[in-house]
Amino acid sequence: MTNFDTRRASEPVSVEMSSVAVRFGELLALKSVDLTVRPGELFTLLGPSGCGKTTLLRSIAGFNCLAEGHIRFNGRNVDQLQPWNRNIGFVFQNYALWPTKTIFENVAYGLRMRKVPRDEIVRRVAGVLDLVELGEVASQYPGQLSGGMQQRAALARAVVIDPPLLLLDEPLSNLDAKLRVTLRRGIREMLVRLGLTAIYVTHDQEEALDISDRIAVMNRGRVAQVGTPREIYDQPDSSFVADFVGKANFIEGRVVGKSFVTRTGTRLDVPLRLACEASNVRCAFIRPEDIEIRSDARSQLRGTVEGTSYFGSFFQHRIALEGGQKLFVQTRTHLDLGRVTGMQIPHLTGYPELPPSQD
Amino acid sequence: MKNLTRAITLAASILSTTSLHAGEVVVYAAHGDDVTGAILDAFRARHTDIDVTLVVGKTGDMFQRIKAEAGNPAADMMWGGSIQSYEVFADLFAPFENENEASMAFVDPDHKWQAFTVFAQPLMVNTDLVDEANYPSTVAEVLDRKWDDLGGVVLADPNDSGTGHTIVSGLAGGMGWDFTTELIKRVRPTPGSDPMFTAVRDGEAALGWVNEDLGAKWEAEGLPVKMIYPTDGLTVQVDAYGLVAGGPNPEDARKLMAFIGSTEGQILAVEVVKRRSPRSNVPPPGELPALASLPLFPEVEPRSVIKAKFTDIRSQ
Amino acid sequence: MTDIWKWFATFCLVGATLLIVVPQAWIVAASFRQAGGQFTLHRDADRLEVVRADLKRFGPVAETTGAARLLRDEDELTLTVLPNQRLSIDLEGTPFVESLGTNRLRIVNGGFDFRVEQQAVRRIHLGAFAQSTDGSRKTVQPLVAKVVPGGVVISHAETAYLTFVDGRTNWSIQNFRGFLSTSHYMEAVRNSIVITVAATSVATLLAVPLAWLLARYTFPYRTLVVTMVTMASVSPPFLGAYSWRMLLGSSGIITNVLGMEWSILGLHGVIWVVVWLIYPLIFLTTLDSFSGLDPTLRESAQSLGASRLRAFLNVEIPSCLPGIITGAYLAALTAFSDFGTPFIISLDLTVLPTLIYSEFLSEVGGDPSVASTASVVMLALATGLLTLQRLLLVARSFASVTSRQSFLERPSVPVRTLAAFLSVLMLGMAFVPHVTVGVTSFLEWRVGTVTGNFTLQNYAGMFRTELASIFVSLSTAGAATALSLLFGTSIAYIIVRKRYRILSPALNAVVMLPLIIPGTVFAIGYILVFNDGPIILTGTWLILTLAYFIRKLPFAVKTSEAVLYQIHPAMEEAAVSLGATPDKVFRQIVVPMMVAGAVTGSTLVFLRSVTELSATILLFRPPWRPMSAVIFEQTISPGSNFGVAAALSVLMMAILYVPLFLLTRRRQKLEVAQL
Repeated sequence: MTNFDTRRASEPVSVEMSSVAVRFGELLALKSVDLTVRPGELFTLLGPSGCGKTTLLRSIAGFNCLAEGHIRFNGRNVDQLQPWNRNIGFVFQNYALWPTKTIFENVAYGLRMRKVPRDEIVRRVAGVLDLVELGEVASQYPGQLSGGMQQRAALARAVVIDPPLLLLDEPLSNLDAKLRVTLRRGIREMLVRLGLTAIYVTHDQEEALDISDRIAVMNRGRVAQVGTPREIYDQPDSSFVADFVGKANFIEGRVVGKSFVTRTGTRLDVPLRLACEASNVRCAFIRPEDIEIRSDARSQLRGTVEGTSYFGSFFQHRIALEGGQKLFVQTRTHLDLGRVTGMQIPHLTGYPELPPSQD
Repeated sequence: MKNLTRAITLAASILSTTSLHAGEVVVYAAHGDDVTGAILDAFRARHTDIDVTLVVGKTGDMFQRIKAEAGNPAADMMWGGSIQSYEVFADLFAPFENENEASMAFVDPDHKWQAFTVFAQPLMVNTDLVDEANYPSTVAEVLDRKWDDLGGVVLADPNDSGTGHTIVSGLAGGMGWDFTTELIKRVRPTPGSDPMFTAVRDGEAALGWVNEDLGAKWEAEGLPVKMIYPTDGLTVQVDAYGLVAGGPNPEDARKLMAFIGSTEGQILAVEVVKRRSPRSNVPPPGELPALASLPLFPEVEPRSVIKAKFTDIRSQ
Repeated sequence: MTDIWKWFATFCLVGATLLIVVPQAWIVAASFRQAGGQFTLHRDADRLEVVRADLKRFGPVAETTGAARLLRDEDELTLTVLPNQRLSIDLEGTPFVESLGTNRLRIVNGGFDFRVEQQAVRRIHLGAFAQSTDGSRKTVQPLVAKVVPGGVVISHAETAYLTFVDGRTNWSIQNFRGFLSTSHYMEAVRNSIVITVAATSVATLLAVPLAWLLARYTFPYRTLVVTMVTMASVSPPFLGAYSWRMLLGSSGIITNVLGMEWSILGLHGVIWVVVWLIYPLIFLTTLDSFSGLDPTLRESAQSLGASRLRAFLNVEIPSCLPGIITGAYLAALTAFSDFGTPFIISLDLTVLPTLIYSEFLSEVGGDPSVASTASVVMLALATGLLTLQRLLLVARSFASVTSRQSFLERPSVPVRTLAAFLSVLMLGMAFVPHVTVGVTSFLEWRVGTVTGNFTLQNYAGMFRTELASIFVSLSTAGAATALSLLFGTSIAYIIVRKRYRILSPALNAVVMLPLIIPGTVFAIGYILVFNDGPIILTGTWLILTLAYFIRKLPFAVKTSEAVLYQIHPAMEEAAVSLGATPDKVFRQIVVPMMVAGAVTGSTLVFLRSVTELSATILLFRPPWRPMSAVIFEQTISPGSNFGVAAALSVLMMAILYVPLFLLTRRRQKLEVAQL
């Protein structure tokens, strides 16, 4: 039962970023980023740490100054708008709840700044606290709450002001795995219900795939690819995206005619998708779950099982090919260590370079 | 409205200095109540219309304060400090002549200072550290090597102390620089005269010099000290007072200064404070030997020479 | 873009400049003014001798029995003996002469501005009841100068010393060269550094473990220990250091009972006493840090298999370094600028503060250029310390204070034993002065030494002193505390958060200066600026308040800074994103979270203002006479009645400690309410 008004007082906005660059001293943290977030969309910025995703989010909030470029809300340039005038909800990684104020006071703060009448504040705060199921603890201090409750309180504080745009900076990274999964569905459902535009920063690709309408994968201050979760996972534009999102195998080799020839000379006649000129291809990519174990004539590669990990719903094997290259393969069945097996590769994507090695 | 008036009154009182009404004397003193109290009480009894305000501090502090305030002096009179101090800061003082200067043992030809009391500066040993057989009878014995084992000798650094200057200048004049050089090499210099006195009293050193009035009081209290008037010579220190140039109440200050130098004031200094008067017609406290019976070393070389030689010898 | 903070920062910097830099600028200026030099001649009959020891800048080029030629850089001076105690001085141009008294005169020409002073043997006129040393009462021949063609002829007393001091000064770095090449001065520098480093290290090693134990575990007397360490951060003025000497001096009470051949006087004793003086500063800032630390940091380390000790060393200490460094910095500066302890706990140990004191305030006239040079050297060393502190802090990322509060654990027996041992040791040592003063206030004092006789006379004497001084002390210190609370927290905020390119570091440096300017030097600066001219404040209530506020402001700034370094900036950004303007963020979000640091800082400011002595002595004037001055008056000479001073000290401590005790109790209750 909730009396929180889910009809939006302010319509969701679009956010356009054009040639955005941010500089910290000598360091160019963002290099010419172009992105458009559509109204009502749950948009995720995904990337390894240091890729600039948080910097971009903070720039939208107005906490960073742009060295170049512009950010527009609904076509209106906000570069000169002070952060406290942008009317944005922001959920921080460490929640940033004020320890000296109760949960109620924390959530009510934004409404007080907007000079909302006292009785309306009480009503709206109660509404949003019910929505996040914290009505019982309104009078307690943040220090008395569990991590998950604090996270929901931080979310309530950000949405109670009816922001047309909500920014979330890795809001779940401080929580344990199980709670993360539950809460991210909760956040998704709430955002859909509130119908506001949300930009969500995470380094967890699984989380990004689960909740996003669209994802921008970022690397070294640039956008590597923008797309729906399926586009990002199935058709990565670059070996970096392929490698960062999900598990990936890369086989070194070249394109000869319509086939892919590995470094050790094995010829693979499979459907090829190319991300560049055929002559520039240096490696080919395939997901572990796409490789099939088989010993019949359709097997194209042979290798020795070196190691196996069990994930409950599937096994993941590390298989060494001749010449030392290793492939990850997922199956429903167990394979004995040391067994020599054949594999079928249904398709490959060619990239001009191996992904940057990751630690 | 009432609150406003009160606020203004308060603000005004916070900003105000002492209201300088007539009949007030501001005295900067290097002495505590034990020295000034009795004389001031007698003065107040005689001049009920004059308020005496005391600001007490260390000698060097007070002279520097007068110097810093010279543009707009707050003090009328400085009381205490050696005549060397008054000579260093002579520009800050106005002449004042006591009517009975003729009987004074020490006189400033420019009358910038007046002698308040004088004290001979005998040796003082710590009796816990030194047994009677080892008491020195002459200054010459200070050079004896035995003092290193008994706890050492302290001497106030003439760079920091008028007392130190008087002693070194007197010894150099009376005993010669060969002796004095050896002495300066031997002693531990203290940063002022009080540290020298207390070092011997507290047994931190076996031997030093002392102002006789203090030494006499300590002996009378049964503290482990013994004053010895060396037979070969000792120095005399003068404790002075002076009229601050441009002070706000010179007339009343002169009355107080005259009272301090008067027979009545000097008798109080002798009887209550137990100090020796610089006036020849006021006899010393009973327990102190007559000055004339002592072989006195006068001050010969000037401050800058004594300071420079002392520093030179110490840094060799 | 209007940034209200930038305006405020500018206002603070201008104010700090007017109240700190301008009054003290004379020191720096003086350090770069080279004195004109001096020489002394000894005239004995026809002989003229240059006194070798007393030559500054002048050097003799030729000396015959009847004349002396002296050279200073390019300037040459020839003095020739004339009959009848006269001396001719060759001077170019038309010299100007002026008599300054019987023994003093001034000679000025284009190159020199000499002050000449003669000293003949000082006569002792023993008058009617004795003989004078030479049997007659002659007046000294006055020093007189007359301008003649080609110079000046002076006539002087018989066998006189004539000291020539050139008052002209010029810009030069010669003072620093001289300072650095004089072993006596460099020894003072070395002693200062040894005391500072040794005392701060020992104090840190003692204070940090105790702070940690009290921040993590629950003990029956936990609150009491915290309160008492706060109390220990001040010691009774003057008598504090003296207590150690009374107990552990060569014939101290304890030394005598144990029959030791030992004395606390010396470098070792200074370090010992300073340790107990400064550790409360480290303890208090560190305790705030440990208490505010996100417990998950430690818990995560422990979950990774770190033992309690390893978590302490590898996680908690690094995370709390801002607090530890701040405390150690304040402690180091306090040790570095301490004058009283080396003065009382040694006979002849020279450190920078005592060197500066004796050269500025020598009763026989010091050398202001040495004093100012030493001050600038001290300033440079302290700036080095400040830079070190900044570098160490900047290298630390912000330790996050999350909303989770750590709850206190029950200690095991070894932990409890260790905590009890440390508490008893450290409180015991810190309160030695207080207890000694307290006990001796009930004993009879005679001519500056304590006896074994019980008496209440000291307290009777106390009531005869000016007790209105209590009001003066409390009102000036109270006002100074209020000001430093207001400006301390906001200046800390400008330094830590705003990070303006020039304003923030400038403000930081300027505000910290008073901590290392000796109180007497500070006060002289205030007299020079406020005794004359447009604003006359000397002798007022306001100048004491201002002096306390400015001198103790560093404590408020630094303790607030330490807390700010631990508040994650997201706390403020959260408010900004919700529509709070920067001033509201500060007032409504930052200030409430800074309360812990601000209470510590304000307490230090208040306690230290009430017990301030060195600047007070030069600045107060009745009726605005604070308690510290009244206490000091009772100890002015070695024959004073220290008993009344002891009783007054007990009264002062009681006045300070009762409200402090209540305040700490209240704070503790607040913490409990929030759990």
